[in-house]
Amino acid sequence: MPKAKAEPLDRVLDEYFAQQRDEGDLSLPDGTAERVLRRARQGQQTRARITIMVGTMAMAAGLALAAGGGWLARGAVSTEDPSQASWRRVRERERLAALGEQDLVEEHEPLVATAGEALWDEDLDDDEPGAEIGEQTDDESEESWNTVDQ
Amino acid sequence: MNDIEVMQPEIRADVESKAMAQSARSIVSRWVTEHGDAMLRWATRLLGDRYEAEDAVQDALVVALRRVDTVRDGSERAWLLGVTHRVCLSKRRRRWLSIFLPDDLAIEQAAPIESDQRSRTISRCLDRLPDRQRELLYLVFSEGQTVEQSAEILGISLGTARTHYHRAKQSMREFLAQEGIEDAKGEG
Repeated sequence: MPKAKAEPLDRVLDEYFAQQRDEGDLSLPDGTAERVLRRARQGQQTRARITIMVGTMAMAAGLALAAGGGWLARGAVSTEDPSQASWRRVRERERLAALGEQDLVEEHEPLVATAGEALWDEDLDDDEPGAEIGEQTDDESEESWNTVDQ
Repeated sequence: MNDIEVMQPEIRADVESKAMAQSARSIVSRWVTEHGDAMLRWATRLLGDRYEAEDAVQDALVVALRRVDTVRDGSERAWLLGVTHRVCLSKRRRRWLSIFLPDDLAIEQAAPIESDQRSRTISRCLDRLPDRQRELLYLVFSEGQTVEQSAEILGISLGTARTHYHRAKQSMREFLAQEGIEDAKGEG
């Protein structure tokens, strides 16, 4: 006991707690050490798995950031959106045509037409199958209007 | 250079791992043998439930094994009781949830073992003390810890522990005298 001298109360408490200890008969069940070791091993494995998972996530986040940074850097070098550029060209042609500068319009034609422009040109081609149907329909509709007028 | 250092790295890692496992096994076995019962008594006193206390001691031993490098020579029991104390406090905090459980699932505070009238009276007097004071008396008188070691176990300063210890004894003298246990009177 750590007490320098036993007071009456100390003796009372010593007796009481000794009796509690003896009657309580508390002892750990057999196999406690094995269970503790097994749990410690499981905990170690879990921590290792978490470390690997966190490392992988950090690496993925790093790669995503790097990719995002690359995309932004590329955007900074060339900010021109091809579709917007095409519209700009159309507007410029219209502006020049309005001013009567047809020569300049032709000069201004892009060397490579955009996909939309090419499609538009093809649709207007008279040799394409289906072009005559459009004409026929127009005539018929003209006739029918005339008939109605009469 | 020792035998382990001259081994090939993979064999060396294997030997070291086995040595660590062996070492952990011997440490835990010794703790269970030398301090296990004290840890269980302390956990039972803190939690009031024998089976929950066994779980708490297992948890405490796992934590202690992970932190084995922080134990100081000569204060192993106090250190283990301190780890047990923290684990039990954590369990007690979680137990707040139990007030929402039906009565039959809630853990009831285990009554101390009382074989006679005198023991019952002393138990009643101890119950009237604040938790901290009761815990200090338990650690000193039941587990043979010094007030300084008890302060370390409870995670409080030595000054605070001394104050609580003296107040606890003073209160116990009064309570026991009120209950007619006269032989506890004396110095104070």
